[in-house]
Amino acid sequence: MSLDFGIWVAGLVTLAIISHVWKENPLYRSAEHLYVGISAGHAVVVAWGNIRDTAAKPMQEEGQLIWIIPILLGVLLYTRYFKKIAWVARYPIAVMVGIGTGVAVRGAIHGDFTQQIAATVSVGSVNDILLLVFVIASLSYFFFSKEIKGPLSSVPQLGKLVLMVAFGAAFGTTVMGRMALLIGRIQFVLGDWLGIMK
Amino acid sequence: MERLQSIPKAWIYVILVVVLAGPLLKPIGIPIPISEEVSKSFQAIDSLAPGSVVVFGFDYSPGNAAEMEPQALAILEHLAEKQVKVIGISFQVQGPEMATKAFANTSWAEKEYGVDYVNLGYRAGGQAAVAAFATDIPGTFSTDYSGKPSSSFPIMQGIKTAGDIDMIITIAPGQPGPEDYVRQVYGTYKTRIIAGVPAVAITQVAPYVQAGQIEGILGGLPGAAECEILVQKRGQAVAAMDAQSLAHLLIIVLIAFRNIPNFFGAKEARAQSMSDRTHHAGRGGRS
Repeated sequence: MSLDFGIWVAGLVTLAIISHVWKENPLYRSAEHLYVGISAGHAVVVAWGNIRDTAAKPMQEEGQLIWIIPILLGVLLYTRYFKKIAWVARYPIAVMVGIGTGVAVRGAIHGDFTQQIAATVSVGSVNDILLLVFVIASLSYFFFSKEIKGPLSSVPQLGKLVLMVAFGAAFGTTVMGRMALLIGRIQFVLGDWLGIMK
Repeated sequence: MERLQSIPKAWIYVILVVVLAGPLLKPIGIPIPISEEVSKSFQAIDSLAPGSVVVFGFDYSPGNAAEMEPQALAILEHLAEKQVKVIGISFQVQGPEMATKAFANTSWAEKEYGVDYVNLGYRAGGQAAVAAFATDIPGTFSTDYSGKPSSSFPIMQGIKTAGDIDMIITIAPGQPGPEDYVRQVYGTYKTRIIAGVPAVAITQVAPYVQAGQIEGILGGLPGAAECEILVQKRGQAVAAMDAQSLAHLLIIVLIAFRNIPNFFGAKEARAQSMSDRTHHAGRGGRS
């Protein structure tokens, strides 16, 4: 059994969180609030470190005054807490949305659109042919401009089937992920804490 | 039949914990086949020449460390064996601590900080920060995690953009993740990318592997276990795989048990409804 105080705290908090499967209880609530509080506190400290290292230090030590602009925009975000000047907060938000959208769209056109289409249409094996057919079938399922009738109606039906298989795979992997998290906790309790697992 | 449908939830939890803890205490040794994606990742890392520079994205947090950390440790061991240089970065707020822990618990602990590896800490901004990193690494990560200027470390000499990097490895359960590196780095610099993702994200990242934008992926705990086997350093993930397989088996059995009564119940209900209809029709009345 571990003699480390930190391991004991982590072990007890783990049990407190798991106790929720029995029922909602004060131990679970305390551990939950502790987690939220620590995460928030940590995020604030790291955010301050980010501002200090990225902007404040270069301004002080190297005279890079350009950093005043992002700092000012950041401060303006807080004007939303003052009713009369709350509208000012829209400017930094507009800058953030603009930059975010610009960066995302530029990358998405390249990474998610052209390169993905090029890879899908380059057929070299049976798997590639299946992929191409399934992609076309799935896309046809989302074709709403005109109802697909007659023999072609089987294409969106195939697409629906493909989507169902994809959702099934996604759900299966979700279960796998959740099990992995539980296994990690059991490994910690039995191994690191109680020392009964090698 | 009704009893099958009303298994108390508490019993299911107890059975699950027993099924998971049993093989952890006494491993069964269920075989772990190596998938093509993990094999490709291994070969890609194996192809790195000694002295190559790898950026390692510690983009996970304690909340998902159970799935992601074994992947990071296995890959780090492989990188240490290949004698490459590792620049640790993070776009996830708790990532730098995970990086510190991972370096300390692998062969990297014996290597020289600043020369063989460095932990540049966290930068906020999500995908925009990844874009900034791609064009200006020392500018985006101007200091290491402890606040020392990154340019003061020998490992950072000659590193300016993502084009100066031989490979990017990101262990990321969410955003920013492999997709962002593909969008912001691969498109411009064609830097090789390996991704470690949680099981739930495998289907999201697979198209990028199929398109050749990502060279290989490690998916969830099985991906980590396969990597541990290839690196020949069996650890936490291999030990967990028996439990994972048995848990899945248990879930399949529970789903089947829960649905058998539904299936027969539906058949009985249909039969009852048919008999009612026949009965009413025979009397010539309307229901």
